[in-house]
Amino acid sequence: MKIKYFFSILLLWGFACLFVFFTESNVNYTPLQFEIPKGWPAPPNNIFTKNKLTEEGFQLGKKLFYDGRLSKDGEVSCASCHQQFAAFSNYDHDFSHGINNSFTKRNAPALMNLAWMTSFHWDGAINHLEVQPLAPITASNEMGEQLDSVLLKIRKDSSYKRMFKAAFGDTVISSQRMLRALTQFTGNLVSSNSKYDKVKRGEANFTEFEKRGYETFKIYCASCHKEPLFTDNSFRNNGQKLNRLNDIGRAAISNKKEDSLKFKVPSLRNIELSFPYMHDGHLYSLYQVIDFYRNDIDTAQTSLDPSLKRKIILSEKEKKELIWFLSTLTDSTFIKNKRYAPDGK
Amino acid sequence: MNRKKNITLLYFFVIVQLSVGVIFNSNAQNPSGKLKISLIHTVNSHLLRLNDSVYRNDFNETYKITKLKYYLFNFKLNDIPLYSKEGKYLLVNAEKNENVIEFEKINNGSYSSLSFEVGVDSADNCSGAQTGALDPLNDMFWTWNSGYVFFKLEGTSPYSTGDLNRLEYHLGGYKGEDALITKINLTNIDELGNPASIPVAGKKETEVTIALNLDCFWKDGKVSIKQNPICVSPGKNAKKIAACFSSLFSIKSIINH
Ligand code: HEC
Ligand code: HEC
Repeated sequence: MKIKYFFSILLLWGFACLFVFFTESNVNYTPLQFEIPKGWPAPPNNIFTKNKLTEEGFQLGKKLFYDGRLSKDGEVSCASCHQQFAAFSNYDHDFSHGINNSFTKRNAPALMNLAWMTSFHWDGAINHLEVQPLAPITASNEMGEQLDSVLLKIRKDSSYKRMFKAAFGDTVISSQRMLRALTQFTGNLVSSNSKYDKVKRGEANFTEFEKRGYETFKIYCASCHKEPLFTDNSFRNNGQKLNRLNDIGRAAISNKKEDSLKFKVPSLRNIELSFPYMHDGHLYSLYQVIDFYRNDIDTAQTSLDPSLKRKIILSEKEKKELIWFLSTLTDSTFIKNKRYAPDGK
Repeated sequence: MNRKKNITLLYFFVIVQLSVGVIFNSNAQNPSGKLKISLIHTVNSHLLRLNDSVYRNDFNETYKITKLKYYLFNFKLNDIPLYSKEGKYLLVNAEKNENVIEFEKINNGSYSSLSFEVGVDSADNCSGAQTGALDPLNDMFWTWNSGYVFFKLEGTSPYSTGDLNRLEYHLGGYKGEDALITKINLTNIDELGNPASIPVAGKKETEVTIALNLDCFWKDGKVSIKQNPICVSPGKNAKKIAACFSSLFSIKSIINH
């Protein structure tokens, strides 16, 4: 009698094991390792601790990034304003086009090395990469859509069902999963293979011109555009005048007067590709940028960064050398990387 | 062969005994008291009716309410944290028929105070995409300036200078001086106005009803609708309006079934 009980319990246990085995083995994640390029610091916060990085999650994120259905009219995808050939900035646009012929109020920045950033957008308004997509999706001058409508649309698509299952274990399509998948894509856009990087790794050499440009850079620019990411993630006023949209930058978020006209220091990687420049894209070339730093810094502003109060004196020759150096930050493998392209694996 | 069988049997009984022991033990240690908290909303001592009722405040301004949603968390009895299966946050929505949260495993006793916090604790404001009460689908997350709206009050008033006479308070903020997370400490009061305890006993569930009294927003000495029809971002203004949080709630009734 007792033995009978024993065996039935054993049998139950066996079924339970089989069940667990089958449900587990149905899901075949391919874990991805987030690699920190040689000589770079570790990201300040690991955005992939709760959001486990997998090939399936990355591919799903990529599909979402290139999908116009995230917008109200079906026409505007993330990639409309963030184009790979322009290092995921908006090529040749000071402001970008949103739905219904609207315009953004700021310049679309290049997207790269986001995992090392501590805040997002020019004013740092966004505190986590996972919640960043909520801003463009819902803004009336960007994608103009509502989160629940986006989910309704993508739930109807059987290929999404398949991909959510592959990435997260079942076909549930929730806001968190969608946002996390997008983060797996954007957080993986790492640009670390420019000539500058090769020189640092001992695989290439600067020309004399570039070398002198690098020296100038270290004197005047590197305090804010800090190597190797070419930003120190801080908010600074680099002396531009208040623009026609009265964009006061960080102060609108922090509610602090002293933050007026401060913007997040942008990375200068791929800078050649991401023109026009500054938060409102009003400078069209690197020549204009250097001329701005030489001649046009508005020293009357109280929040101007102390390091820019003294005039930067550069000869025409030094200016050219500096631009040669900045060109070594272009990473052609990044803009050609098939993994980031809509059709490539 | 026989011996082997005996050993497996023995092994089996040991396991059964162990698990029975665990169940019994946990029963002995686990307190069994239950508490159910429900929220109701009133204006001038009447139950709030969304959309159609017209109310009048202490500044003699008329208004209607169309939406009322807010977060509560960190419920405690006498500073002892309460546990709920439903999660950390209660998102109250006046549109719903009832807004309740149930707690279990409370020690029997009579408690002198019930406390909770209004808002979303600062870590949860910056931990990325969340689910449940904190899912951005609940329309309580600021998309353009990360962080949760802790308290959302919307309506209309002819005294509002805002677009379409809108009355709109989206109150929140978790950083530094702008932080709005507010601790509320309620004591129970008997018919004579004296402090009374909140009993939790045995298997009977204690039901506490908390009333949120909307008049508190525009009581004398505070900000009128005319002065302050719209506030939709963290900052000084939000703090000024949210100063009323501390007098917004009161214990309406306690029932011990
Ligand atoms: C209509 C154009 C447009 C669309 C569509 C768009 N963006 Fe952007 N993106 C911008 C602009 C403009 C900014 C700068 C916003 C600001 O600073 O206020 C930006 C900023 C960002 C940033 C912050 C980068 C940094 O360095 O701080 C990220 C990340 C980003 N976008 C990702 C996305 C994703 C993901 C999507 C799709 C869900 C998307 N964008 C859709 C225009 C767009
Ligand atoms: C005090 C800190 C600081 C220093 C020093 C500094 N910058 Fe900047 N830089 C900034 C900030 C902040 C911005 C963004 C300003 C804005 O958008 O309004 C910026 C923007 C830029 C941009 C535009 C980037 C883009 O994506 O639009 C370029 C190019 C640039 N800086 C190059 C330089 C060079 C070259 C130097 C040295 C001559 C330099 N910076 C020195 C803080 C600094």
